[in-house]
Amino acid sequence: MKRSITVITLCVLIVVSYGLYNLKYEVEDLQDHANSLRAQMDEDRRAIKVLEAEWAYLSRPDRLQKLSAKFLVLQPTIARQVGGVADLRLKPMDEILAPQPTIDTTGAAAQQAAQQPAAATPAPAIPFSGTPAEVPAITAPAPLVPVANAPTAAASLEDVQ
Amino acid sequence: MRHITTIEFDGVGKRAVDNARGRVRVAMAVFALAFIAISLRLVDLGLLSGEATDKRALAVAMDVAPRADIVDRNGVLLATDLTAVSVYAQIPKVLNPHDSALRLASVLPGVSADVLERKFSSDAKFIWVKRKVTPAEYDAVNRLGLPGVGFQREVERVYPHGNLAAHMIGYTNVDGRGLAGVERYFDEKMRKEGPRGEPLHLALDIRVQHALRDEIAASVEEFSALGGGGLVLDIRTGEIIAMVSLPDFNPNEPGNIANNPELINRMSHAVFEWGSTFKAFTMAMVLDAGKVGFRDSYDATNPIRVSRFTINDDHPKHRWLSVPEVFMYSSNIGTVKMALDVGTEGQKTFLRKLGFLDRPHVELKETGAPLVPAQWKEINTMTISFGHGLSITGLQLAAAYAAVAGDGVLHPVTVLKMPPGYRPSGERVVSQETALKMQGLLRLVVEKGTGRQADAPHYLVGGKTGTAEKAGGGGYRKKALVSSFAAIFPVINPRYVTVVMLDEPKGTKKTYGYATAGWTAAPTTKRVIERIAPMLGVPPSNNPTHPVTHEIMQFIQPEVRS
Repeated sequence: MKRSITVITLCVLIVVSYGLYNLKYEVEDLQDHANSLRAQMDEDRRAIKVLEAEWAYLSRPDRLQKLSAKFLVLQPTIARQVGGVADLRLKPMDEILAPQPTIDTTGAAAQQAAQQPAAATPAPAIPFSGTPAEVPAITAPAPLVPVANAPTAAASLEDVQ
Repeated sequence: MRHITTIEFDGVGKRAVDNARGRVRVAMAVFALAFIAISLRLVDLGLLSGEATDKRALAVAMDVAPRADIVDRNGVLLATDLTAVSVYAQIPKVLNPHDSALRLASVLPGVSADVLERKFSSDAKFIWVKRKVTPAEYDAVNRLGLPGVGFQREVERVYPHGNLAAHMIGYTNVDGRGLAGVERYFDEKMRKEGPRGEPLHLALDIRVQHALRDEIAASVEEFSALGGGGLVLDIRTGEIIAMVSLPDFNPNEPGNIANNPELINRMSHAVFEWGSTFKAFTMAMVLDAGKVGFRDSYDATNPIRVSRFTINDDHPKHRWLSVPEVFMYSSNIGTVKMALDVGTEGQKTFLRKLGFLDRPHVELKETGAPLVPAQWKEINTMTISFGHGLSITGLQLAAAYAAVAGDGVLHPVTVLKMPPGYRPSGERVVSQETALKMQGLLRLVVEKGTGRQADAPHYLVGGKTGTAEKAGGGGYRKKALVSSFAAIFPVINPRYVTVVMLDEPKGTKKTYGYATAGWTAAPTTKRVIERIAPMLGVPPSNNPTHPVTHEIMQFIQPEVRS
């Protein structure tokens, strides 16, 4: 009896201490991980600061002015070029009311036609997949075209510091 | 199972064994206690206090940048902390002073081998070899691998815009203490806030600042002036949108800035007699007192003689001038007579209300106290009425223009960005009606008077020229001028005040040798307003004039040209 208690105690002790040390090393690992993450964040923050400073340095108004004078045909805005909504010439009413061919109507009509049978008519023969084929013409965004000339522009910017 | 046999003793043997057993128990207890203590300490070290060291190490690593950033009103970075590396030496560990010094000097420009060797041979324990080295220099020193030479990460204050707003932002010393500008005024706040804290939001708009500096710098060069200054102030909020003082400095290289009198802030620190620009206040005072109106006129036929002084006009008309004409032609004689109608006490009270008898109140340490006459006699009243004998800063001039030509209330000026819709409190100095009259008069000067060259079309500029001779050598120096132009735009519901000042401009061929404000500061103001109005969102107007200016026209005699 006494002996079995001793054995059990010993076993428990071994298990507990193994568990404890395992836990401790696990915690240490997590701690190390947290520290390295913090260090990484610090490094990133420092890098962000440097980049922000560089951005401010590169977008100095006097530098932009020089670059603009060299590469662009833009001139400072003059008063004559500034206007408000009130300055806009209003279209005559009959010009607005006159019937105009628009691309939208066909698309909208198709969409409407697609929605109505689904809701109202009980047994439509039209398969549902047929309608989306027309809709993308309106909703799909234009494909992105990469700017081709970017590298050449960047190279010539280096002349002006 | 094995049997444990206990051996019994009797007599002397028993006693000896009992003694031994007792000692063994004591020893066991002591060891047990010791092991318990050790295991407790192990648990304590392993689980509880193990992190303390990590935390401390991290705190040092994180606390590298002790100041908050400074940004302009649109969030453009004006000042920030970056980390830099400094080289130090622990002298007791330096093996060969002569050799080490030579090798360090060979890779660090600006470090003298002799000086370094002397330092290495001194009793000091620690010296800086060079603060804030470049990455290339750091690499070179690292490659030398000299014993006793180490690197310390340090914070470096960086101003990406260099000279652009140097006087406003200021600079810090190598230990990160603010020495000028807002860096100095908000030193404590920015240290407390820390690099991760809220940046300091200035009212400054860096684009407007650039346009103002660009134009003033061009004029300083064109007219070979000693320096110049400029201000753009938001009339409604009192925010300083731009403040320029030339010559300026690069805050990234704070070498000998503090000791150079040339680099004084010409807008907030240096005080000047502003000459005729000051007449706007005399006019506002007289109109507000209700003693005279636009209909009244003054005799400006002959100069005024008071004891040894003669007060004459720069553009003499030799006739009676109506009140608007006095302002338009900038008549000293007429202005003096108007001021005398209000009297010395009235003038003193009015100028005190405008804040001209105290230092300007603004969040900068670089402010100049006004030069006020010790005794304010009638002769002082006369000269002060046209801007001589009382010296104030450009900042006060701008704030007072905002008051007398804005809504009649003197608002406090600030370098900080205010929340949208902010309306500062302030003391009423003139009535709204007087302010409206002043708008009309200032527009008149630009339409028909001495400030015609400041007329930026469609932006309804109103303003007043001022050309003062600088005092010196017991009198006034004819050739040393301070030419200034104070303007409001647009004159209908004014939004901004600008002040442009040139310190000792010289006339050019283009200006027929004139260095007066109408030929120097006025055209500069025009160019400034044309550039900044679109940035500030001031819409161009189709109104040709201010309604009051239109009304005034009937009191202006048409010029007879021969």
